[in-house]
Amino acid sequence: MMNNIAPSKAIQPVKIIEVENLVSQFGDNLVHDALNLTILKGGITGIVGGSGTGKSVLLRTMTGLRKPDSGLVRILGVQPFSEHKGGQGLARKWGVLFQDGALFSSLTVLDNIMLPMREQLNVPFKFAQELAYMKIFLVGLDADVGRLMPSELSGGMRKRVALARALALDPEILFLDEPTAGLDPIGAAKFDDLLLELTDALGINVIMISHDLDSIFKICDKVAILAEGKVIIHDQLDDILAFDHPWVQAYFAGPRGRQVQSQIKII
Amino acid sequence: MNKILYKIHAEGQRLNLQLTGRWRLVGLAKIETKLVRDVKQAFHKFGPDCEFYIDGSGLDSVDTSGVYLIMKIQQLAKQYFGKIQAYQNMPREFESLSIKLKNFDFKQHHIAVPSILMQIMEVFGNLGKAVTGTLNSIGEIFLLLGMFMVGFWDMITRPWQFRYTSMIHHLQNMTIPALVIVAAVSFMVGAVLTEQAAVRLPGFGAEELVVSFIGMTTTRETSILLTGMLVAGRSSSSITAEIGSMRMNEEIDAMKVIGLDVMRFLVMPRAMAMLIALPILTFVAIVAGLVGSAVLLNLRYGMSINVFIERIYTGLEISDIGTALIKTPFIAVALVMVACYEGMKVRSSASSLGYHTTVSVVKGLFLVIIIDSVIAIYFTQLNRLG
Ligand SMILES: Nc1ncnc2c1ncn2[C@@H]1O[C@H](COP(=O)(O)OP(=O)(O)OP(=O)(O)O)[C@@H](O)[C@H]1O
Ligand SMILES: [Mg+2]
Repeated sequence: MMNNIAPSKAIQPVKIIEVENLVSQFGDNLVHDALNLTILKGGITGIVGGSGTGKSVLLRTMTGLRKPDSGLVRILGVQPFSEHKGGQGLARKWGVLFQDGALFSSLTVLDNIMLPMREQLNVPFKFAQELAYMKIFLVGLDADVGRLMPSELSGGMRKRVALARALALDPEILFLDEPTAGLDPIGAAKFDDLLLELTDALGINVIMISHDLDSIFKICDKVAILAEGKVIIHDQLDDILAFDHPWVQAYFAGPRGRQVQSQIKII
Repeated sequence: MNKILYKIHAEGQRLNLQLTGRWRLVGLAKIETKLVRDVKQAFHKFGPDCEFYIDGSGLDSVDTSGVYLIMKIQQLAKQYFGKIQAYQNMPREFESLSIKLKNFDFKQHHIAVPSILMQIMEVFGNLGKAVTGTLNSIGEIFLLLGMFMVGFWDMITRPWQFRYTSMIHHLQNMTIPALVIVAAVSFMVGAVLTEQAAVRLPGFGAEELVVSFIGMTTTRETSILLTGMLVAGRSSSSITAEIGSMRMNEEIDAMKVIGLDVMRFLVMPRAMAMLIALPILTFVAIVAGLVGSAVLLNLRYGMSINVFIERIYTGLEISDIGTALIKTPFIAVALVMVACYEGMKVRSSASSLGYHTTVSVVKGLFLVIIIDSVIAIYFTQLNRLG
């Protein structure tokens, strides 16, 4: 495995996600109009945009659930849509946290978390169960939660369990659709800390859709902003705050945005 | 190929667990059992006086499952040697993750498999539950009848609040797609019954006796039974699935909170639609059954259609059709109420939706037969007395 440390690769940043000229359309509704986005390895990238700008659709396209109407999407160098039909390589390398959790309602929490390990990697039952309990612990839940059915959980617990399931295979890329929506502020802050620690410790790349300004300021290394069917800017927060676009200014410089900014500065 | 992920070796009183390669779930899944066994064996072999070290200098990478496994071995060592043992040269990822797992209780992670005795007891328990469940559902029928009457009263006292568009929509769904299948099934059963009867009644002209007999069976019994069963399969299941998924989606709760009456909004339109649809379908079934019978007699036994019609006129009374149609409102109400009620029982899991849909159809079929028999017996007795 000597070629792993070939110098050319070490210097060039690795592109984990490439979206080129993506067009997504529902009838007359043009959601993405030649959208481009390249995400490099490392850190947490936030995807921000008004309601209905197509963030969830972008996520569905990146995870191969939707075929691009035109354009190209590559995750770790492979096209995800064709991937679902062929091999299952990507399914081992990514974890997805859906907006509403999407836990399997007929399985207990523990079985939900064990499922990817058992099915993808044939992890023996007992070991998978132990690891599932460990993930439950990692996302800050009690072990007793493992026996419950998804319908018996609160919204915040469901989010955490869904995160535990997304982390089941220790993915390289973690997609999150509004992870902190519906959590109380303390829970949301803990969730943010958890994400920070996990990305830091494990080198997970996180792609996070969020409306939560606290989380964006606290954990995102870079932010991509969706508007008018495109990514209008993809940069570090400082540069985004200085970006002269009416929506961006209204979003970050509005009353809520200013409040968070001032708090961040105090810290 | 299984890569070697660990080596156990001893130097004097020092036992070393040397970790190598990529300690990730993919590889660990295969070696976990063996690793734990090897480690335990080594502990026993070297005895409690030796020192145990875990050396991570050879690790390329480690993920949470790797960290977990390393810490689990450490716990084993702690149990065995009675004191915390040291790590050496662990990578940075390990340090930060093991801090997070510091308070994790490594002993709690087993759900006991129930013993055989318990499983057998459970079978008896389930049997008992099934019995009480059946008794309950008999009581339920009266409850549902009551609910329907309340809803019906509400509808006739405040007809302007009735959801006509919704009813029309359901009426369409219940009749138009069902017409062809009801007609086809009834046609075939009519033909087959006629053939069976004609073959068994010997001698010349026997087919003519067949007409009135089959005509009566088709009109009074097979038509309504077949229609009822087909509707139980088609409409009961779809009503339960519809209402059940509305429950799962919390739509029913939303309705209640907005102050909408579930009975008025969901149940009555479907019940009224069914009350109209079932007689129509039954009538279609009667006609199709008779046509089937006529076609068979014509093709196989050369009976002309005119003769058939004449026989039907003399052999059938209008009350025969009435007997069939009088059953339809009872069956319609029973099917809709059971279907809606089962739908309301759905809890937020996909399997409960499937379960209640099945139950709704099974109860529906059962009720179709029960109601049909009860009313049939009632009318036959009435005829005999009168
Ligand atoms: N399956 C679909 N069929 C038709 N249109 C759709 C479908 N899914 C999404 N859309 C449309 O695509 C657009 C983008 O939707 P999307 O769910 O991606 O928004 P979003 O950015 O995630 O919004 P939010 O922040 O509210 O979650 C919307 O106009 C929506 O109407
Ligand atoms: Mg969305």
